[in-house]
Amino acid sequence: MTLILGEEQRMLQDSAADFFASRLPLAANRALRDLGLTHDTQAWHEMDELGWSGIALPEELGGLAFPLSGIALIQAQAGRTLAATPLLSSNILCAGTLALCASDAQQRDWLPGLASGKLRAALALDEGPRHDPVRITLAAHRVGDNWLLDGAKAMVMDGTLADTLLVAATLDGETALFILPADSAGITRTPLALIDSRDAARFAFEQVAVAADGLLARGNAAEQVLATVLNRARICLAAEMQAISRVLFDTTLDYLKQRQQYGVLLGSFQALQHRMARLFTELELAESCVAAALSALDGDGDLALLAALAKGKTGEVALKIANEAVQLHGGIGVTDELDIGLYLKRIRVAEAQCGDHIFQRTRYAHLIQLAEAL
Amino acid sequence: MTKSSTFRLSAREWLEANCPPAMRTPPPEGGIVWAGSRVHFDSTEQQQWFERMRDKGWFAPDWPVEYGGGGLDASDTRILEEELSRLRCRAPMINLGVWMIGPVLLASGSAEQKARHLPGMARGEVAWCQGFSEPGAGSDLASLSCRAERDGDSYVVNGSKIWTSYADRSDWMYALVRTDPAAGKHAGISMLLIDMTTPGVTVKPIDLISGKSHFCQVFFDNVRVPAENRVGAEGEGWQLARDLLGHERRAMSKFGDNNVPGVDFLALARQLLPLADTASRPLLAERVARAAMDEHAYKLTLQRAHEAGRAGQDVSGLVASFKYLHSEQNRERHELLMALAGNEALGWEGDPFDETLLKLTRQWLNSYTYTIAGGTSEIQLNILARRVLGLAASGG
Ligand SMILES: Cc1cc2nc3c(=O)[nH]c(=O)nc-3n(C[C@H](O)[C@H](O)[C@H](O)COP(=O)(O)OP(=O)(O)OC[C@H]3O[C@@H](n4cnc5c(N)ncnc54)[C@H](O)[C@@H]3O)c2cc1C
Repeated sequence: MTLILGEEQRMLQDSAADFFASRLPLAANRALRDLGLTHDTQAWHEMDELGWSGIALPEELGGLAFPLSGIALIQAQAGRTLAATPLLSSNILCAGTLALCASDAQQRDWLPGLASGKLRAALALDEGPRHDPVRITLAAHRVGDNWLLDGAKAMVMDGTLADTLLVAATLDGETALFILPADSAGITRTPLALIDSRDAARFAFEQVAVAADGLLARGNAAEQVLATVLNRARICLAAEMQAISRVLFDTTLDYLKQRQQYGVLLGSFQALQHRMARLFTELELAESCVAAALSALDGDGDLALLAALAKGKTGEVALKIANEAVQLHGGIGVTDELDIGLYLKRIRVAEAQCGDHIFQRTRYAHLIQLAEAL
Repeated sequence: MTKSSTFRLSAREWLEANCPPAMRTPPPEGGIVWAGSRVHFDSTEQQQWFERMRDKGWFAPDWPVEYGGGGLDASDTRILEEELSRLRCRAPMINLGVWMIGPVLLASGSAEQKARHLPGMARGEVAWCQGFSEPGAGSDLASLSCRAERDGDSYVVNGSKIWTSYADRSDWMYALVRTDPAAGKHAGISMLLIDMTTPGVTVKPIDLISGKSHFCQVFFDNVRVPAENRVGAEGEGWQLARDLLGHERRAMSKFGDNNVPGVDFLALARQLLPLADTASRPLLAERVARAAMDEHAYKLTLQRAHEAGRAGQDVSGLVASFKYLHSEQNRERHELLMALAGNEALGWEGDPFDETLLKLTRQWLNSYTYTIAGGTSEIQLNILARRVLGLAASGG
């Protein structure tokens, strides 16, 4: 396992940094929010043109031969300017599932659209207040050649903009994964306004008919594929949170070097120095976890364990740094004018998505065989 | 084949043939040989490993052969370290001579000092201790007051040093002394090499909360030290000490993972968890997972620093965080094991208690020393804040 980036990865990272700095800088994302928009459709097309939506998908179906870590690297750079991308939902979660378990025909039906960006998909999984990939009550029944879906999904990221849904359901007591158009009859979708102003929706499914070939996988296979793509998503989210943590840390450090009170710089107070020094050590620990998880994303390392470690550690550290960033800025730290609040809100959402640090710690405990005690 | 891959292969071959399997396991507390004239071995494997490495010149692999070293260049030395670590070899000995004062003598010692002292260090025949801290000078080391007054060809030393590790088994001490009380705080300090058998030197081991120890207080009562035993010029002691502490950091990083004594945290936690009361078990397990994640993250950070350093990146900030992280995490893990073991970890000694748990208890008490010795955690944070983060120094 290697913990530093290779040449190709560094090049992608640099071009992603350039893209977001010039095309979707923080000010532009703040402006989108003020207009009530969740993302910049035109900029997303430009990302498609760069081939990003096709990363790690089969080349013969329009994919781009670049390892999965590419998406995490892009996600991290997007995090720095708080830019939304379609990559996590469409590529990692949905296209990733199709590539792992769909039949050739199903792949031909869906993957070219997802890889090119013509289709945008979202994963409909969580039903309760917290991420819970094992408690699925949305029910699937067989009716003739078709399937019928009944139930609800509480929080579907990118659910409003999605034209395609990947739905986790239970079928005869087993987990099953379906793919269907998001405007299928019987679907009610309610857009959600989130603290990070990104796209999400709530869904009700009432007697929603799905064609026979809408079933992607069921039982053990479905559970394993779901686990894999969720672990990949967790690593991408970890990379994003880590990048945001760094921005917040650097911003706060700069502030301490410039703001004066009592006739001296804030940064000369030892109480604050030690808080920053501690955060620095935590930030570096989290960085190493992300680095290892990137390797695992590309097949080198224990994906489940490193996903739990990386998302757990970065989530915990990001919350801590965000809290300190607000506190150490004093009154201005709680104003909307300062960007810190935008980062804080994004961290809260990314922390919760695909399981917060408490969820990940519990996962880690299971993976290191402490489960009996839990 | 390149020169370095040839060396790697031959080093690997030699280590595989010469490092006894028992020396490829983590050492117990105090399980690494303290080199010197009073060397003691716990087992024949320990002795074999010691003697073979000594005869190969690999106690000091990068020192010139004329001083008993291995004569390796920097790149081969690093390869050797990697191979030692790959095979999980224990350090063959602890020797502050080779690790600390030796490199300073190589750089700044007189020809006579090098010829006299280096070979004994490189062969592990002479034990050295570090006489820096004093009862009145700890974190603020430069406030030290142990006095060395010039009298003809000698210095006369009066005062005391404290916390001197293994002074009770050491042959020589390198000490910081005040030669000029009138000069500035730093400028009045010189470095002396003191033979521990000199009349007037008294060594008194200190009992710690964990029991008997090799940490001592050393008293100097009109101790005559030949002036030729001064390293560098008068007043240069502080700068030499800074150089030396730089070597300490490097030595500690070489010391690496294989040589951290201690219990296998996760293995012991897994054994103890099922015995805990059912009600507390989930919370205990959660805390074990958290500590295990921190330990995992720390190990990955060591690896990352290693890789980034080899790739030519600046890892000084990362490295500056290791001592703090390791010692703090280590203490937390021990505290957690104490909680898991409950009453069974409250034993001081005696047959009714499990041997592993008695050891755990002592190690828990010992774990406090790591956050103090070698620069306290607070001083580490000061260093991080000021040198790494560039925050202005304040009163503290
Ligand atoms: C087991 C052990 C082995 C040792 N071995 C050796 C040895 O071989 N040779 C040797 O020379 N020394 C040795 N030492 C000494 C060690 O380096 C000192 O104990 C250490 O530097 C702290 O000094 P002190 O004990 O005087 O504590 P103090 O400096 O008095 O510190 C007391 C408390 O105040 C805090 N503090 C002090 N200054 C600051 C500051 N500026 N900002 C914030 N907090 C501060 C400290 O962190 C600590 O919590 C050893 C110590 C131990 C415990």
